[in-house]
Amino acid sequence: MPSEKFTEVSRAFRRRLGCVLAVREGLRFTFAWNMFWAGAVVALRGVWLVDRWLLLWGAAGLAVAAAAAAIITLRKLPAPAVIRAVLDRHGGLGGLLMADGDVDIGSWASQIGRVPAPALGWRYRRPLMLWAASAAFVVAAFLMPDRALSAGGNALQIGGDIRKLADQLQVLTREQLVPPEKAKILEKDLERVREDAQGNDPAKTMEAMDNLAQSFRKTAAEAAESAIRQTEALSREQLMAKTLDKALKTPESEKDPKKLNEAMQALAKMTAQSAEENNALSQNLSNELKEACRKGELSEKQLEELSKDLAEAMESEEAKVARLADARLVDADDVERCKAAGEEAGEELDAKELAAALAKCQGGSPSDEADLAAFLAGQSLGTDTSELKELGLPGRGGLTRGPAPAAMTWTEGAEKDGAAFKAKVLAPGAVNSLKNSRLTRVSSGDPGEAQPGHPLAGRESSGGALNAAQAGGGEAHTQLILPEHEKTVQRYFERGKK
Amino acid sequence: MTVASPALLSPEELAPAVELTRRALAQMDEVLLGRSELHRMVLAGILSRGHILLEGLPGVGKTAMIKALGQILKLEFRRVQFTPDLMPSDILGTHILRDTPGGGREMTFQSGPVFTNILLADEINRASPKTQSALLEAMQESSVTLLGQTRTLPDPFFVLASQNPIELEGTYPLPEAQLDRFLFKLAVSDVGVDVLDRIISTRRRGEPPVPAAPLVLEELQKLFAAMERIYLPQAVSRYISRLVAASHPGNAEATAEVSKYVTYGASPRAAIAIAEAARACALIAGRPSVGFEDIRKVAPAALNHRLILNYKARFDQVGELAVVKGLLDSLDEAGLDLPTDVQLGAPPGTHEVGRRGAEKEGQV
Repeated sequence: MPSEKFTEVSRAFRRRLGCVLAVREGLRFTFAWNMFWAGAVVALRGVWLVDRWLLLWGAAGLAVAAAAAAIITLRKLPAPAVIRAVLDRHGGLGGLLMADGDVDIGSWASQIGRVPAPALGWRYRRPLMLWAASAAFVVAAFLMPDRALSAGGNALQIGGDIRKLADQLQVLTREQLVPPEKAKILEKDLERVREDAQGNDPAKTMEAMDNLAQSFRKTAAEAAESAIRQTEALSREQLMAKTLDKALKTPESEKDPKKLNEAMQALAKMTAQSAEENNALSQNLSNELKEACRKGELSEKQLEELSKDLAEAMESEEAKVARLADARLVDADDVERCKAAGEEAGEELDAKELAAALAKCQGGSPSDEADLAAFLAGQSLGTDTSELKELGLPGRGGLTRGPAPAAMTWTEGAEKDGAAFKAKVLAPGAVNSLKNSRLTRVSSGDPGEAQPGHPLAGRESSGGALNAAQAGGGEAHTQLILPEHEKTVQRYFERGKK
Repeated sequence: MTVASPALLSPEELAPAVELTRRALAQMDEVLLGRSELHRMVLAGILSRGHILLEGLPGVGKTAMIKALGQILKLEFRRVQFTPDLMPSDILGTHILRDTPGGGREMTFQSGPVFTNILLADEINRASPKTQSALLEAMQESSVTLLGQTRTLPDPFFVLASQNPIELEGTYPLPEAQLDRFLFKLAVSDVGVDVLDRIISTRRRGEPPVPAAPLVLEELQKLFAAMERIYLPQAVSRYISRLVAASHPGNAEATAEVSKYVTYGASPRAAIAIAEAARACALIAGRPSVGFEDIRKVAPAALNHRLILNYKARFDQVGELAVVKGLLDSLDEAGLDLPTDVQLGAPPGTHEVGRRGAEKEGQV
């Protein structure tokens, strides 16, 4: 049996060697992965315009590389017999330590004494520097701006804008504002716009993107307005429900069953209408409640339940508008308006308006409205009935205040001076020539001039927005042809003459 | 697979054998002054039951040492002076026609000088290849076959040959097959001033003293028995195998020198020779097991006559010993197979190959 003393020394040295090899292999593998990863990031961002944050998933490869390094280290780690041989050789033990691993060396063990382990040296500077360089490459690949990575040189960098539009489209689809079939078509449109985006005709791309963005915003704005309207209506119904609940709790002697029934009928009708327009409310309402609404016979408990459902539906609408605002599809003001619609109607809506709404629902005349308002005011809504008579409440077919009680705001209009483009009519010939122009190169640097005396002085290439463009010439770029290429160019252009 | 040993020799069992080797070496050192290292190698060869070829200039004491060995071992000793007209029958023996007492005649075998324990083949390269070849069977199989009859040589049987490396006229280089049968080829070099002074001041006409306490056959047999129980660890036998394999050009571990200068590498017999000689070294050092240092000690003597170098080696004046030394220096004994940028500290007493001038790096 191997001596425990020597086995422990052997194990300790093997562990030390394993650590060195593991770190070494780890650096090697992660270096290789870093280089591959950074190269892939550069290629994917430059050629396929992939979002950089998506490529952060490549960091998972580091874990795989580390695991591979660990496996390789385990495979490379010398066997215990080899470690014994190393220690034997280092200690000059003449094979006794090696023999101890195979046979019983008996009293020779006591003659060996202490077994020194050899020092372990690793030239780590170069691999460490290489690894640091690879890590820096990864960081640089992520931090490099899109325009610096553009492989085509002529492609428009609209990846961020397209992504933003795609996100907005997703929000619209989730909110069921855009049907899935149409969403797929729009996604394809976005992809086509991204693929076709070329620097030589940015206006086309921008126009297409603007169209899409506008259609998204329009859809979202309509949805937001609808949500605000629904919130307002729901809040009225909630107030009505609360009021009727209160009226039901009054003593029998003070109750006016007729008016109560009228109000109940009106509420039921309004609720049924809202349920048709609002999915959230429709789902929240139980079948019993729907039936009770249909009959216009709501109990106290059902009124409470209805009030709660209406509140939830309002919250749902508010959340929907908030999500649209988060996706930058509607303004933050719309969220505030939606909230205000609920709060104003819930807390500040007075009996006059409520009565008007009820009467409208029921198709009543202004006098009916006044009666109903008086009734509701009597149910301690806190409104002076005398005020009702002074109201010019709109009746059927009359004017209304619009979709919401919010006041319209007006700001000063923008000045056209200095902001608007000056219209200029181009000659038909010039327009046709520009249409036929061809992009040869886009200069990324300053088209500076050569030093005086240089053979190319005055013949530099120049580029830029319509630099040196001539009406009818159709050139936005002047290509420099070196003297040694002139003959070739000449032959090319004169080939048709032969 | 390593040949299994019954058990490792205990210090008590090993001590008598070590004492015998010390006695033999002391007497050899006394007979031939200033050659202690050579004596150890010769004794290692004897304990390995191998044949030894001594090469050196005339007068350096080759023959004297072999004769002294014959006296110390107290075995039957015969000397054959190899000359160009020497015939195989002069060594092996021959059948002669004799009259029988009954008036008839019969062929009887007259044994040659090879039928002995120690055969001194003096100036072996002066005999013709035909005569040299007469020793092939005797050296390998310890037997002689004549007229279809095989006769066994006495046990033990050693051929201790000498040759002169400078007188090439009228000599015949030993064929490779015979060279391979020698366990060691040892170079007997000049001695220093002090040794020369001791020789001429203590020896009348240079005559060495007669060994006082020779080893009898039984004692030699005890040494052979101890040799059988010297343990050869797996890692060491693996190292020997790698060393011999690396002497062939084209081997993965072959050095640049081997690839460039060696035509044919060492034979499997070389590996056996190194293993046996290393056991003997361990025994002489008083150890029950073979270590890497034993291999480093015996490998040059066991390999130098087994490598066949090409003409480029002659152009560059590269010898067999230089090639073997390069091999020993480049090969990692333990077979740790570390990456090039990870290195162990130098073992005591060894040369740090390729590390001189290496970049100074942190110790882990």
